[in-house]
Amino acid sequence: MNRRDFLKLSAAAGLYFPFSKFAQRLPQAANSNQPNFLILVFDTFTARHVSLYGYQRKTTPNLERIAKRANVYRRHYAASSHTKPSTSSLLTGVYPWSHRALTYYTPLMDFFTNNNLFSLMPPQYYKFAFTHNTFVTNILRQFEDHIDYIKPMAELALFNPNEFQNIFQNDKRLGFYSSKRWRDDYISRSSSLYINPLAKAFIGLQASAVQKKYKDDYPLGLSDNLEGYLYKLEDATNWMMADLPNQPAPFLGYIHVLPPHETYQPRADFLGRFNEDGFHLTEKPPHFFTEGREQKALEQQAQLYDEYIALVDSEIGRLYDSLEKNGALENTYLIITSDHGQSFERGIHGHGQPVLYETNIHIPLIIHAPHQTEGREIFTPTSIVDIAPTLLLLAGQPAPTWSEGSPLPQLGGEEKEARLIYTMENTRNYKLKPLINGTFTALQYPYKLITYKGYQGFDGIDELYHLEQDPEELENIAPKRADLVQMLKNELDKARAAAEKVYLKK
Amino acid sequence: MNQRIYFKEFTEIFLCAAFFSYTWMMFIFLWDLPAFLFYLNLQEILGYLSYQLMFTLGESLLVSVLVTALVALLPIKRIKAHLSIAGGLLAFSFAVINIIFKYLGKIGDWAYALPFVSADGAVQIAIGFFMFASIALPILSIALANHPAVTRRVKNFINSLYPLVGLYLFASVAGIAVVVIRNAQ
Repeated sequence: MNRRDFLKLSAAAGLYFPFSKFAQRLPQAANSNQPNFLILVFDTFTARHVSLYGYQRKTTPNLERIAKRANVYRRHYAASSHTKPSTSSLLTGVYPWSHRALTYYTPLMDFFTNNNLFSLMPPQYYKFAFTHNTFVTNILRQFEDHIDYIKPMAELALFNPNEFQNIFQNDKRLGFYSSKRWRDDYISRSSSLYINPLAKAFIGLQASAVQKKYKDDYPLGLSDNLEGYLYKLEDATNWMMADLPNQPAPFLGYIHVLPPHETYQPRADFLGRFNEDGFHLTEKPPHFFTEGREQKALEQQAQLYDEYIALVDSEIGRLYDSLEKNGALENTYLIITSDHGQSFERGIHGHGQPVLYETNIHIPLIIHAPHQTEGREIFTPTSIVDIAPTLLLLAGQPAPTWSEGSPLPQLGGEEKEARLIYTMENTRNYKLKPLINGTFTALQYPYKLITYKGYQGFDGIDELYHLEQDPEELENIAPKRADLVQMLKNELDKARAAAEKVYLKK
Repeated sequence: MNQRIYFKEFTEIFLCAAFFSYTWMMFIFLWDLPAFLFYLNLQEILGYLSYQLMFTLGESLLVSVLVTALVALLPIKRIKAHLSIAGGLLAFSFAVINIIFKYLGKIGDWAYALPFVSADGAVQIAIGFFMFASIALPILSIALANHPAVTRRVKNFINSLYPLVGLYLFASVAGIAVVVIRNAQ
């Protein structure tokens, strides 16, 4: 009988009490030789605004400090510019063209319900997760049979307007989605004509009262998960600081917090930190998919984003110091990363447009290994799909044969300079049909191909950049290097066709 | 309550509220349907529609009760003889007000595409329009409730709703059954 079976039996026997409390009482297994894994994902955290990665503003002094005792993957890439597909790639080790969670509410292919990082960890691992992000909640729900404890979002909320959406416990995914679409206006107009505006007004009044209470500390308001849920990142940090040292070992923890995702809400001591630094972003020509935003507006948003990153960095530092002090890091791999980046260029703010420039896909990856005392920099391009096979390898499991990633260098993997990695944005495709629309990148450092497929007025457009000579991606050299463009496109098409052949065979 | 509410009058108010509620729900459903086809299968789409039908039935009943209570409690004698007309008009005016409210948040985005209107200015105009509509439409509904031409037309309109709302109700009962089955597993 494994731990999960035991807990289920205990619950059935009427020994109910909140599991978090139970977990806190379990002593850490003293003789466990297997390492713990703590994955910290900061949503929408572009490496291009991280001072550790060369950004001019000093946004991440704490990450720089941690990097002196960690592996820093300098060329690490998301699988997509959206949370759902990219996080699904992190947790499965395959690209979106394989798991098919292409957009906000799309579940992964059924195959991955029982084939993911949680399910493949050895049975003695205690697995827990937390997120502020509803899209990540949907992924965790699909994997929940293999996760011992998912901390409810509401437990770290200062205000949670979404409680009633959880009433359909036997039909969680569709029940939650249907009640959400009926009540709120986040993705589309609400289906409720009369109650939605009243609920909005009522919830708005309640939220304002909470916001007012924290106005001095958060002059721009508390962080909002874009669905009215109000929270402080500090509460998630405090929870980890208090609970992690007491988790049963070995453990796999997946914590996906929303900051620095917009809306940017830096705390008072970070707000205005970069007011007078004279820094300006490189001005780039508007893209075909431009939203028409002016450079000045983009820079204002970027400054707030940077100040929000400084808050995130300070919380990372606080957590790291605490875990180190109480010995929780002694046998723990601490993985700090993101799901995708954020754009402040070419007339575009955010990650909603189908562009895959570096700001949207280049993300940080810092891994502190147990007893690591020196910093290492890895320049081989790596992808978010590499994380699952790496952790499985470190836990003594074979890499899944279907994984499209490979173990990370310095953690069991090899440096492969000529390696090709891919990124894609495919929100406008049928789940179970071959991809006919989207933006794709194929990166074989230093060359990066961006190819646009199926867009009216922008179909079949290719861009090629030499990232070493042109890190800002300003000079498209595709016309001069047609041979290289063709080679990268062939490789991309081959990889996509191979994945679709396996997963769309029905 | 100073007026006895007849079942027929409540039914007529319900017909109006249900017509607006269900029509809006179906409009949004059909608007979203092309996107659903990308990532939901037919079974999931029908399951989703079942939840929406169930919620909308609840909403229609709740709004009918509230509107009926409101018109019955209003101390205006001349609408007592035309309770369902006043209720129907009120349900219509609340629907219009709510649709304006729903799109208020979008005004800033639209202004963005219209460079001659500043985003702030557009939002102020929209809020002003919303406030005006919120006050004027219910008053107008009450004022017109015993006007013969209006009464006749609204009555005809309500009578024409029976088949459509009947269909919605039938679908809602089926939807509730689907939701119960999905949650009984």
